[in-house]
Order: sequence, then C-alpha cells, then structure tokens
Amino acid sequence: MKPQITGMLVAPAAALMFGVFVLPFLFLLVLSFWSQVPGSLGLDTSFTLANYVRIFGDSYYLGGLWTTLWLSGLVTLICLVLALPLSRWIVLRAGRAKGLIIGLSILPLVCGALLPTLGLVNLLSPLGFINGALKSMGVIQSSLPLLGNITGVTIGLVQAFLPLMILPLITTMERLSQDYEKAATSLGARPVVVWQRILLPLLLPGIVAGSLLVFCASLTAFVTPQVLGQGKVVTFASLAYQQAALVLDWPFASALAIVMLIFLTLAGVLGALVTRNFGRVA
Amino acid sequence: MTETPYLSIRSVGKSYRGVTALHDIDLDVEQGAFVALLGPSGCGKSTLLQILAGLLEPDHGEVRLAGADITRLPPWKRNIGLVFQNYALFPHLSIRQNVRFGLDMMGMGATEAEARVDEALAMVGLDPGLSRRPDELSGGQQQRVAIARAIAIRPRLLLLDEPLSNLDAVLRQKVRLELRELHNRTGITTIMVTHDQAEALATADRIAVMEAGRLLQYEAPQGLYRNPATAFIAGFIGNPAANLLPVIAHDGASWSLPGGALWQPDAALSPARNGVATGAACRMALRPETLALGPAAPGGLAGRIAAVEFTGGEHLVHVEAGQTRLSVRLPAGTPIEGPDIWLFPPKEGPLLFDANTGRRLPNPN
Amino acid sequence: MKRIACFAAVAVGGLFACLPAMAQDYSGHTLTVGTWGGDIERLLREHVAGPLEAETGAKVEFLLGGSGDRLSKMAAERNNPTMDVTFQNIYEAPLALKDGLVVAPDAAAVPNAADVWPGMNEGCYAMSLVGLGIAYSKSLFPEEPEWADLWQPQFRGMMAYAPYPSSEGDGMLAVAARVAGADEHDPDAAFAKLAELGAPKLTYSSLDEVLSLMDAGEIAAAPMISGYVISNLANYEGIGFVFPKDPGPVLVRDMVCQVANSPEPELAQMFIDLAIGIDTQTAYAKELNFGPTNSKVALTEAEAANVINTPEEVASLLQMDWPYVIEQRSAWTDRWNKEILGQ
Repeated sequence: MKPQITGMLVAPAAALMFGVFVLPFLFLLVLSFWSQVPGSLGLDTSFTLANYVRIFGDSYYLGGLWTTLWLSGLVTLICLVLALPLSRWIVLRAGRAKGLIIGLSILPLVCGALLPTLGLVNLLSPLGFINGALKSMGVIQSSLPLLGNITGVTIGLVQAFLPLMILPLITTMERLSQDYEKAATSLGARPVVVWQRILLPLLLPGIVAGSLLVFCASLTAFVTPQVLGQGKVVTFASLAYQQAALVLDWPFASALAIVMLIFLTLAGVLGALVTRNFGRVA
Repeated sequence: MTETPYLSIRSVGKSYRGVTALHDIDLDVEQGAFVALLGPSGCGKSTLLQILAGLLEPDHGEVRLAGADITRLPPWKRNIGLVFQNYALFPHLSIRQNVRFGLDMMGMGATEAEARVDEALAMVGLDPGLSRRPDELSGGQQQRVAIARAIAIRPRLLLLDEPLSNLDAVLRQKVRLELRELHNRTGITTIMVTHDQAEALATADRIAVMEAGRLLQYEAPQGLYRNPATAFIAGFIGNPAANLLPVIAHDGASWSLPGGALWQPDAALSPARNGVATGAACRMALRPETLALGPAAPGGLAGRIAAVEFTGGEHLVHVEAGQTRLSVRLPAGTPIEGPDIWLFPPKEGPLLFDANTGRRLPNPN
Repeated sequence: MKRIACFAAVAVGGLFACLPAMAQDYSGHTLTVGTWGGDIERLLREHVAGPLEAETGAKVEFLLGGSGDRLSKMAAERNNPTMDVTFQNIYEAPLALKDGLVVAPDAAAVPNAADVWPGMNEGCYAMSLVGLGIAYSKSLFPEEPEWADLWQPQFRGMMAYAPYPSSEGDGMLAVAARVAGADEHDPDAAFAKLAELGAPKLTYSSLDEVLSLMDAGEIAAAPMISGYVISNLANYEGIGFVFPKDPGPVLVRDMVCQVANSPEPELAQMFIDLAIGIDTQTAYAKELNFGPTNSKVALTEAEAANVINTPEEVASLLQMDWPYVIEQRSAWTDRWNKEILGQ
C-alpha cells in the first residue's frame, strides 16, 4: 500500500490518540509543577517542585508508595502461582469445556471493578459467608478480619486481575509445543526439572506480559482497595483520588499520578529487559 | 526361541474416549535390531511409540525391557532416547547445551559430559565446534542434533517418531542412509515410526505393519515384499505398490473381471490350481515390475494403454484392464505399441487375497 | 391567609398563585441541573422540573453525581458553563462564590429567597437543613449518647467515618475540638481529641455498609447526616439516631446555586425559586427528613420531630467557620490521613 494512503488511514486514530491521550497527559505533567491557591480553586501557575518534594519528603506518602508497590508485587506473584497450573489445565485438559472455563475466568474483568468487589464484601465481612461457614464448622470462635486490611484487598485484587495473567499465559502455552516437555522427560528430567529448565524459560514472554498487566492494574487499582480496605489500606491511587476529587488540589493529584506513571514505566522497561535477555520464542 | 527378547510388548491396548487406538499388540524386538513401525496415519504406531517412551500408559498389557517390567515406569527413569518429527530442540539452549541436557540430568561431570557431546555430534556428522542456537540451523542439521541429543545418553532403546517426514526428498534419502549407518555403528536397539514404506524397506531389519490399531504383519522387508499377509499390505509395499485386481472365479480355468470380461490365465494362476471355489471373490496382486506387455497371446489379460510415464531409466505404463488401472514397470527402450495391449503375469503361484477379509489365500504346496 | 391560599394552590397542583407571572414561552430551551441522584432527583423531578416544564415548555435535564465533581466541572468550564443550576454543600457554595463561579443570591430574581431563614443564603440559596448527629448501635448504647459519651474507652476503635474531606469529617473535628474545650480554629486540639477515639473501624463508601455493621454491633457509632439515617432507621432495628445537645448537632446545609454566565439564567432562577418554594421544601421534609430552609413551611408535629425547622432548633445548631475550614482542607487532609487513619 502506498505510504500516503497508509498515512491517511492511520491519521484519524493518531489524531484521536493525540487529542484524547497525549495532550491531556502533557497537561497533567505541566499541572504537577503548579500549585493550588489555598482556600480556592484557582491555580498558581508559577513553576514549583513543591508537590514532588511533598511526596518524596513525607514519610506518609513514601509509605503509601511503598505499600502500593509491594501490594502490587504480592498480587502479581499470587496471580502467577495460581494462573500457571490453571492455564496449563485449560490448554491441555479442558477439551470442550475450554471456552466456558475461559469465559468464566474472564468474568470479573467484564463485570467492571465494583460488582465483584461488592460481592466479595459480602463474602469476607465479619457477618459474611466465609466467617459464618467457619464458625458453624467450629473452626473459629470470633470472626477473622478479612476486610479493612491487606488480606481483603489482596484477595479482591487477585480475583479481579487473575484473568489478566491467565489470558497471556494461555496464549503462550498454546503456542508452545508439548514435544519440548516430552523430549525433556525422555532425557531424564523429572517434572519439577521440566518446569524449571524448560517450561518456565519458554513461557517467559507470557509470564512477563501477564505480570506486567497485573502489576500495573494493581498499582493503579482504586475501587477495590477503597472498598475492601475500608479506608485503612493506603494506596497511591486512593490518595490521588482523595486529592483530585475531595480536596480538589489538582496539581498535587497530578504529581501523585505522574509518580505512579513513572513506576509503571519502570515496570514496563524491566519486563522488556527480562524478556530480551532470558526469554526465547518457542 | 528360548532367549527372552530384549524388548517385549505383550497384549498392549489403549483407548481414548471410546475409540480403540491399539488392540492387544504383541511384539518382540531383539537387542540391536532396527524395527520400523509402518502404517498410514491413525494406525496407532505413534501411540505405541509413546507407550514405549513412557509418555502414555496402556490400558492393559505389559512392556518389558531387558527383562524388567517398565509398563508404568515414568519416562525419566527409562533411559530411552526419543527423536521427534519436528526435532523439538530446546530453543533457549545452544546446540551443545541441548545435546548435553540428558547428561546433565544424569548428573554427569562437566568434562565427561563435554566429551560425550563431542562424540555424539561427531557421530551424526556435525562439527563439534558448533555453538550456535537451534533456530540458526537448517532442518537437516537440526535433525542431526536431535539424534545426537538422544544418543548422547547411550540409551537402551532409541525411538524415532517420523524422523524424516519434515525433510525434503533429497535430504530424506541421504539421512535415512546415515540413520542406518549410525545404527550399525552404535548397535542401539532402534524403533522407527514411519508412514513411508520405502523408508521402512530401506532401513529396517524387521517391519511391523499396522492398520487400525492392529499389528498385521511383522517380518523382514524381503518377507513382507514376497509374502504380504493382507491385500492392504500388498497394496502398500513397493514403489509403485502392487496392483490389486478384483477377480471372481468363473470356473476352474478362468476368472471373471469387473465389467464382465473373462480372463483365462496360465494354468498356474487358475482358480482350480489355487484352490478357489467357483464364485469366490478375490483380489489378485500383480507386481508392476513382474508384468510383461505384449501382443495377444494365451494367458494374457486384455487391456488398453491409458498413459505412459517416462522416469529416466524406466517406463511406467498405466493400463486399463478389467475396469481397473494397472501399472507396469518396463526398462527404458522397451517398444510399447498400443492402445490395445496384453499383460502377462509371471507363471507362478499368484498372490491371492480374499476380497472381503483381505486375508492372503494360501498358495497350494 | 396567603399561606392557606398557597397550600390550596399546591393541593390543586397549580403553582400559578405562588409564582411570579410568567408570560414567556421557553419551548426549545433546555435547563441543565446538577444534583445528587436517588430520592433527591426524584423529588426535584416531581416538584420542580415537572411543573417548570409544564409552565414554560422548556426541558429540564439532570446531571447526576457528587457535589465535588460539580465543583470541578464548574471550575473547568469557567469560561463556557454547561450547567445552569447546581446543588452544592455548605462549604462548596461560599468557595464557588468567591471564585466567581456562581451568582450571589438575589431576592429580586428569586422571590422565595426572602422566605428563607435569615443568614442562610451564604454564597448560594439555602436548600435544606440537616444536622450532623450521632448514629449509634442500640446494643452498645442503651441510652441516647451525647458527643462526650463516644469517648468512653470501650468504644475506642469502633467508630465509622465517611471519607475525608467531607462535611461529616470536618463536623466531627469541630465537635471534638469543642469537647476538648476549644473550637475548630485550634486544629491541634481538634485532632488530638479526635485521635483519642482511635482509628476508625471503617471508612464507609455506602450507607448500607455502615448501617448493617452498626446494626450488628460491630460498629459503635458514627457521625452522620440526619436526613439519610432517619430515612433508613426503619430498615435497621438495632440503630438509633440522636441530635446531641452538648454541643448541638453540626449545621450542614445543602445549597442550590445559579451558575455564573450559564446559558439559561432566567430558567435557572425559576427552577431555584420552585426548589426553595413551599411545595418542594415540604416534600423534602416529609419524605427525606431534610429540614426546610423556607420559614413558611408548615409541618405536622410528627414530621417536625425529625427535622430542623424552627428558629430555636436552628439556633441550637453548631455553626462552623466554613471558609476557614476550607482553607485548611489540604493540610487537614494530610493530618486526618496520618493522625486519625494512620494510627
């Protein structure tokens, strides 16, 4: 196709991306270097680093950043551990049920963030199903605190984002010939060794893709930590929301957002490096 | 025979989802033999190979290797080498790392392992200094590496799953010869799965012909060629394979052909001489290389030349006779005048098969 | 007499006697009103939008959402507003007026504004009166608690708060300061006293969330807006609500504002006039338990019991220095995050 025609066809989408994404993002960046006039909605447009100094100089915000980072890492790890055997089962053994099972695992994604989270509130609440069941079985006496802490938030985030790990893994696994495993076992490798030396390295692209998706989604997740954390789990996204929508200090909220974006970018770069150096396309 | 066979397969059966892939297979392989499992796709040969490798468990039956029951032994304990149709070289490891993999699994020391890798690569005709990645090699080279990887561990049994199918025709001829030579040098008991009868005939000591999950015949190539047990085998072995002419015994001396024509062959080929009752339907195998063509004469089968192929050293003549297409191989230069022609099979006991069961009808005496 | 006449007019369903004569026809015009969804939207549609549309032929469009979003929207659309009328909080209204986003109340344009209790039309027109009182679990508080009762040691860590910043949060800080003998101008005292209640067991995002836990006794009490809780008391037997006396409930007011430079200023004024008129205000009181700001509204004794509708009751409310509080918003948010939530 002629370059001119290709250019013309791409132009509308590019313009849309530019107007809807790039421009607002640049505005966000500029906004983070401004400040808000106290007690008003007006903005002081003189350049200042005060917002960033506040984030990195205040142990509260640094603590929130740290919590957000390791929570996202934890969720990513749990999703990986759960998704690997599940995806493998779906690819190898699900047969005709495959489409149905994939559909079911994607359901939380499709339902949006709020609905499954509210459902979880019912399950995890001190008066909820899990505590009730455990109490009636005599396993516990008083309710386990599953809400309003990292446990509840982790459960909610894993449930919400497991599909993001399953889908790339399934794609990679389907492309991976089973012959590699067979060759390895015939050469004397026990199942654990097959996973370690053959499967994991060859699945690395899928693992990295899934991990990146889950990590970034967890990093910026807002509804789930807010509802399941009951205000007690401080994540950067909820801080940004508080500043943007309640305090209405938009410059500071922008700075918080930019900091999150920096970490998202770092994660992406790390993922690319890992894939390039350690992965091999099967 | 009093000696226990090296590899013995007894009543091995396997079904998937209601479909029987293998019906009670019995097979013995002596140590150091090169056996081919030959058959069309779906005949169960790959299933049998996977059971030998330990990648599948049979529903019933047993497999014994060197006297020990390995039926349910996991693959990593069997010390068996496996070579795949698509090579399955680990893409993230180098050539040497690939070949060394099995040795690493055995816990072999680095120096000894490297020496074995050199040895294995040399045996398949590759430069031991090859340090590149699998995706940088040609198909033929990848196949050699796959073989080297399998023999480096000095396996008790070498299993090849359609090793030559992915190679082009020229390479296939070359590599199959090398396979045979490799086998002669190493003496490893080898079982090769293939659907190419020429390959099996050229390389194997014994061929096990399979169809629809059953073992039809298990013999040396010569025996298979001369005494095929079923019409299917006759029509499968040889290049080109034997012609199968449907015939019905008309009376003691002649056969009726499809379309109603009658054929009175030489007495050696008559129904009476071969114990075929009048009215019985048979199939007669006529080998292309044993048929002669010529003008009308007693015992000849009337036909019409449909096409002639020239293959360099030979003519392959396609003749319509008895509403059946028959091929005849003739040396180049033989005068062929048509379109009407007569075919003359050799004057000896023919290969006759029951038309319904396909079983070979025994020759008298 | 006039009041009865107005009532009669309302009963009949026509508002002509109570409204200024409208000779103009606004068909083809659309009035955009920003407000909270749910019951508030329903009442506004019934008592304000419906009659207005019938009267003028204009169409009324509702934009639903939170008041913070509306404030942001007005600020963003400063040069080209798309909303005509917006409902805001007690502290957002003066802020909006100060920033020039809304038009100051004008009794000439909106006649019913004159009937509103004096001093309430700060920034915008006062829409409803509610008080921040105590919603409590009956099993933990056999008698109606006073603010100071919440500080008993056995209730530490069993409070629930709305997300901060909010009128509930600032109201609670003002109360804590007063219990400690100071007022909201001494944030150190306020935060120190509030911190004594411990970290909240729950920062709730929906009414059902907090009310169901309170009903079960997992939450002891929460500072909540009267209107919402009273309407829900029927659903939860284990919950009570009280307007404390010492100090009194914190005054929280909903305001209705005319957006500056909006497309339909006259329609906006008509809308606001209907909203603060007797008919709508009465409906608010009866159905939502929101106190009317219109001094001319008459309620039965039963209805009046649950709402703030007399000058004496109004005087007993704790009035905060909202402009001051707004200025501290950012700093107090940090303090709330660290000193209250982060314990």
